[in-house]
Amino acid sequence: MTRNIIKSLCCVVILTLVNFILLVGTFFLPIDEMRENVARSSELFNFEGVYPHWDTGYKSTKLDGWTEGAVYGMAIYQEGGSPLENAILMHYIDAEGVQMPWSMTNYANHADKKYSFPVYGRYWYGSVGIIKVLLLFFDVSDIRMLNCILQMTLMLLILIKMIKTGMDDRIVPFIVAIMIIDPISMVMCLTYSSDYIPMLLAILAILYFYDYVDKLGWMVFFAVLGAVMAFFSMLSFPLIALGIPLLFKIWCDGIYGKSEKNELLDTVICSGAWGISYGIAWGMKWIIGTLFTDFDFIGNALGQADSYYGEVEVTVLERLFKNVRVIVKWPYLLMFIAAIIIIVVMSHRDKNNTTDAGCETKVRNAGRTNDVKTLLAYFIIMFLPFAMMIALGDGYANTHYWMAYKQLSITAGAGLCIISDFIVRWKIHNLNEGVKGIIPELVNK
Amino acid sequence: MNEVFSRKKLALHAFAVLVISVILGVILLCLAYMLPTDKMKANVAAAYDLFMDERVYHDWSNDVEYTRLDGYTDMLMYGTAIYPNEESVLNEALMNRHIDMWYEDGMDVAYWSTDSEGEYRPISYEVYWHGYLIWLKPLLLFMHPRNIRVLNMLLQFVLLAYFLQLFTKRFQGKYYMPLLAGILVINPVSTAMCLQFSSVFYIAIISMILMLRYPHIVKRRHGFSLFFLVSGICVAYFDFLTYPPIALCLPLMLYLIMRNEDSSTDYDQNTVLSVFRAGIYWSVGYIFMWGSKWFLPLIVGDNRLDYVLYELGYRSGMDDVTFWQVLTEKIKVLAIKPLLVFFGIYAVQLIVRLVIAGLKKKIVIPDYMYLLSVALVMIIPIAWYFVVREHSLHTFAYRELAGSIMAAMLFAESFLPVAQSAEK
Repeated sequence: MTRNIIKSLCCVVILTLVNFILLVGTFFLPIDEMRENVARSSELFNFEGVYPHWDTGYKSTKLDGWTEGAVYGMAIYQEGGSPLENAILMHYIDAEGVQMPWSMTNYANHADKKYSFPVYGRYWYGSVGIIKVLLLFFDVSDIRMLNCILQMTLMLLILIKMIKTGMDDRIVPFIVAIMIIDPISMVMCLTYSSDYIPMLLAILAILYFYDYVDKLGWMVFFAVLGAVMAFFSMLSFPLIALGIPLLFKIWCDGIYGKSEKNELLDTVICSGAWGISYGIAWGMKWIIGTLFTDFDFIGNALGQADSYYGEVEVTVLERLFKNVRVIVKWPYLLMFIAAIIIIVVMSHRDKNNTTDAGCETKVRNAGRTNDVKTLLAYFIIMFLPFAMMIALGDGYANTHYWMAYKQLSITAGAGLCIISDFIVRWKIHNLNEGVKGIIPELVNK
Repeated sequence: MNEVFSRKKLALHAFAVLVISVILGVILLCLAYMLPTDKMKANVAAAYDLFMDERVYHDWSNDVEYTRLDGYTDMLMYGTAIYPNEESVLNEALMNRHIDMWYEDGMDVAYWSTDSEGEYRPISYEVYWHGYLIWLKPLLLFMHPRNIRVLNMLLQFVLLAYFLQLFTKRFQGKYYMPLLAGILVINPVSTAMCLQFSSVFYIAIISMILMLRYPHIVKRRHGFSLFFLVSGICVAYFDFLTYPPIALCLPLMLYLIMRNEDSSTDYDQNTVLSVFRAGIYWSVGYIFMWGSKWFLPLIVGDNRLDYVLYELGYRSGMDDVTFWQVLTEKIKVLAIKPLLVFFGIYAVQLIVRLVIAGLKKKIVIPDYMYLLSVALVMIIPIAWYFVVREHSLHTFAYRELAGSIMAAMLFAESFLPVAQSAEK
């Protein structure tokens, strides 16, 4: 345990430093071409505005055009300063009397305006480094298309591996979770992709390199993931990169027959490792910023914390309901009903088919759910989003409920797993004796 | 025991299917037209902001034709759904009227649904079946277009995931690159956001799901022919002439690779003939079903055959539009940097794998009949562009190239040893 803690800490610190150096490196790249590419895409920003929806008025389809504009502004900021300073301070563009993202497009087009360049240094904004490299070759529309291609490819690889591994009965919870996150918004909004793509990559890592990760230690893996999230996320809905990979960990443990594992303890340790390393990696930004610049990072952070916790507009319960209400809509309700029906039908279909790999998996997973600790692990995962919504105050889950709600995908995924496993348990009680006989063998396989 | 194939029996069954489809099509439309439209109109009015924000041809990534939606036709679909039933149910079901205003901005339905002032006129659009009304009208009773768009996204992604599940189980992870390329070219983000693009997508994906779930349906010539006949019928019934060949090419390619992987002797036709057979039956279904709609309005005293003939001549555009013009326009839509990067990376890895296989003398010589069949599928979209030139100038018609691209990739991959052995 102590060894793993030290290993995790080392990984987090080294990874964050390497990320930081790479980020600074991208600030050495020439900016003229980047600025030109952003200017070429002005129409995109000008049309979409601050908070566009891909389905007007539908909260779950709201995109974060403000942060998108700020991020592209950071990428094309060209007002002097050393690359080191700029990479730490992350100036965005603010034109007098003009809102974001129009401020940024005016700047990209060298429009004659009175500009100021406020510091937005409290996050790492690791995605700015990637955007800078991409902007050397592509305009913003191209980057959106690339994002689409990448996400589709990753999703396809995940589904293929899930099916090949025999996780058929986990596809429903996974797809429901992805639908709540909303794959179209993920394609159209880079700010969101900064949370979504690391999540997909983490899932792929678990699926394709399970043995290696298992040997490395799950605590280390989730600690690294937390540090990566702190580097890339802008606190949109980073928890998806903890909750959904945790579900995959439990599923894979079931598939690969690691029945000796204490999922409850693992979930607590992994969540803790993720959260602490997120905090450490984030805190490193403030420490590095304080060391290398004159900007008061701590004061800025405290000011921001005040805006999150200061003025409370609604009660905690109202805040939670506000998030839940985003998906209390006909399409999502129909999806939940359909998901439960599919889970019931799938459980029923294979009840006497003992040779089918999918049935084996179900029996094994069901066996694991019999373990109260695994069930509790699912419950903890299910309530992670609510914990975050409560902990981060009004400024997060109330003001930004239209993005914070996406973390409810974790609740839905874990909830459906609990339902699915309960149904399979119940089915097993009704299986014929021949099948019952092999259950212990399957569970312990 | 396998039944002996009988041409006479197939012809009889095909004819029966066609006639029943027409009758059933009319009955279903009549049932849909019996529903009250007041609530539907109120629900469409609730999406006024959505229509006004996006207008008629919205690009979800600005100025990239590849991301263009067809809001004009979507609004026409909603307009047809909410048109008040003033004539008899049969008359309305066959004439398919919607409201038109004299404005040029194409936002007529948005204005009319919110009772904005203006000069309205009913316009009938009876040359298509408007089969989508059988699901759109009931949905509009309960939800507004914004809900329908999200529902559409959910359904499409869920179906795609289910298809991938079946596909991966069947082929163990093989052929995923052609599949991914096809999905990307069709562009599932756009199909999810645009009702008009959804019909062909649903028909293609459901056809493939059925094929994977119940492969015995297409193993024998009889079932195979009827399967593609029904697919053509469905496209004519639900679609607005968007990118119909995809509903033929995708299932046909799936059939060919299933056939190529399956050594059983259950199949009773060779692959090349199967391509022709699928093409013929699909076309018969499509043309007969569509053509029947041109004559059906005669029942309610409307004769628009002259207009139909004019439209057919215009849509083919044989005199005004050259084939090369169409082809280059379509290729241009896909010639955007991100897709070029994707296909570039794919081409490089393919060439490397081919060279390595060549050096190791492991190049596979595939069955020439399979190769020829895949090559024929590759030609189908191109042939479509040749025949339907004017209509193919519409941006969305570029999606038909998904068929050619997927077939080309399957063709190339069939020489690779990896493609022949499943990745376990």
